[in-house]
This record gives sequence, C-alpha cells and structure tokens, in this order.
Amino acid sequence: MMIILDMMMRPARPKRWRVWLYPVQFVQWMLMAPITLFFTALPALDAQVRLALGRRLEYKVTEKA
Amino acid sequence: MPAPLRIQNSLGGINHLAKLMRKYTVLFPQSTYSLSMRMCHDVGYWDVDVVPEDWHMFLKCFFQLGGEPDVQPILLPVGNDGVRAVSYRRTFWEHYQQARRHAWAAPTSRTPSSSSRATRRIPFLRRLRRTYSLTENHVLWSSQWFLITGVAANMSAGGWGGFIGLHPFAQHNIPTWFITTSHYILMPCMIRCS
Repeated sequence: MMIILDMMMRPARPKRWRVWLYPVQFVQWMLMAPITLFFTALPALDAQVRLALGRRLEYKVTEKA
Repeated sequence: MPAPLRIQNSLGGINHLAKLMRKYTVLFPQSTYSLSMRMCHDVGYWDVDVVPEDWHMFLKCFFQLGGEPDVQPILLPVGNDGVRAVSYRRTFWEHYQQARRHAWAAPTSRTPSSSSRATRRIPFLRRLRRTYSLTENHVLWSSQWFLITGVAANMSAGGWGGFIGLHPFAQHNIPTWFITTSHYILMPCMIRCS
C-alpha cells in the first residue's frame, strides 16, 4: 500500500529516465527497517536522552545544496 | 537525494497524509502554517528560545486562549522538503541532525500549564486529548521502530510470515540481547523532565 501511494504522489519522471532503474525503486523499500532505525528512532532517542541528561541542543540550520 | 533517505521522506509524507485522513485525529500545525495577527498579538508572539516553534506556538495559543484555537488542514502537496547537502555522506549526517532537532521536545512539553486561569477554562477532556496526543507522539517517535519490529516478528511466526520468507524473524528467533537492549535503550523515554 505504501509503495503504491508513494508512486502515486511522486512527480513525473525526468525525460532521460533509465529503464533499468525501474525495479530499483521497489528494491529500495527493503531498506525500510534499517533506515527508519537510523533516521527516525535513533535521532529521537538521541534528543530524548539529551533532554533527560539536561544537555542543550544548539539550533543549526540544515545544510542544503 | 540518496535512495535510503527518499524512503524515509516518503514514509514521512504518507504518515502525515494518513493523519489528515483520520476523522477524530488531533492535529498540530506542521512546518507551514498561518495564524491571525490578532491571535499572535494576544499570546505575545513567538518565543525566541524555542526550536520546534510550530507545535509550541499552537500549544501556546491553545492554552492561553482557553482551548479555542484548532488546526484546519489544507490538502496541498508540499515538495522539496528532503535534505540534500554538498556531498552524499554529508546528506545523511545533516538528515540525522535535522531529525534530532525535530524530536527535541523540551520547549514544546513545557508549554501546558494547568495553573493559569485560561487553561482551567478548557474542558478537561479537551485538554487531556491534546496533551495525550502530544505525549503519544513523542513517546512513539523513539519507540515505534522497536514496537513495529517486535510485532512484525510476532506475526511472522504465523502462516503468512513463512510464506514470504520472514520465518527467520519469528518470535522464538528474536535473540535475548535484542529484547534486553531494547529495554535499556527505551528506558530514557519514561523519564520525565521538568
């Protein structure tokens, strides 16, 4: 369901789309478990542990290219 | 954007969309929001020492104005919200930093105050619902991965799990170290900070 929703919400592909990349977009979903651990659960735990220990968090603007 | 982070951003988008579709959901403003100048003036504008200002500003208005403010969603697509730094590796680091900052809940959680007159005007259930939703969000943020992984492993012990090849993750195969480590990692979530 999530894969279908994701495909529906994505913008149109660029004109020079390489066909062999098509199956890769399904394979990448297999990374969901480790990715959500490292980029959802662990940052939240990091923030909450800092909060529990009374450590400050400096605001830094996210670098974007 | 790196493919792994695209997964993360897609999941985030679907999660927000699912929340908007729920009939009785408790909504908070997310990043892009507007509010009236009058309400802004009445609550004393934004606090300059708060990082997650969207939730904080809403809760400030909610509690100071007797629980009257509410969130009305506008179903418009928002793009280009993923992190992309100057290098591939740097993108992951910046994404982690941004996620950690989003989860920084200290200023948000200090907002509810039961002592003020305006707050006492809010019906108890309405106040409880809002506070529960805030707490649920922050507790599940760090624990959902462990919960979902545990549930998936439990389900895989049934018939369909074996069919799609998940049987190696069945409950009896969850190592003890994983369960023990999860307990210790999640323990800080239960600590209340004032």
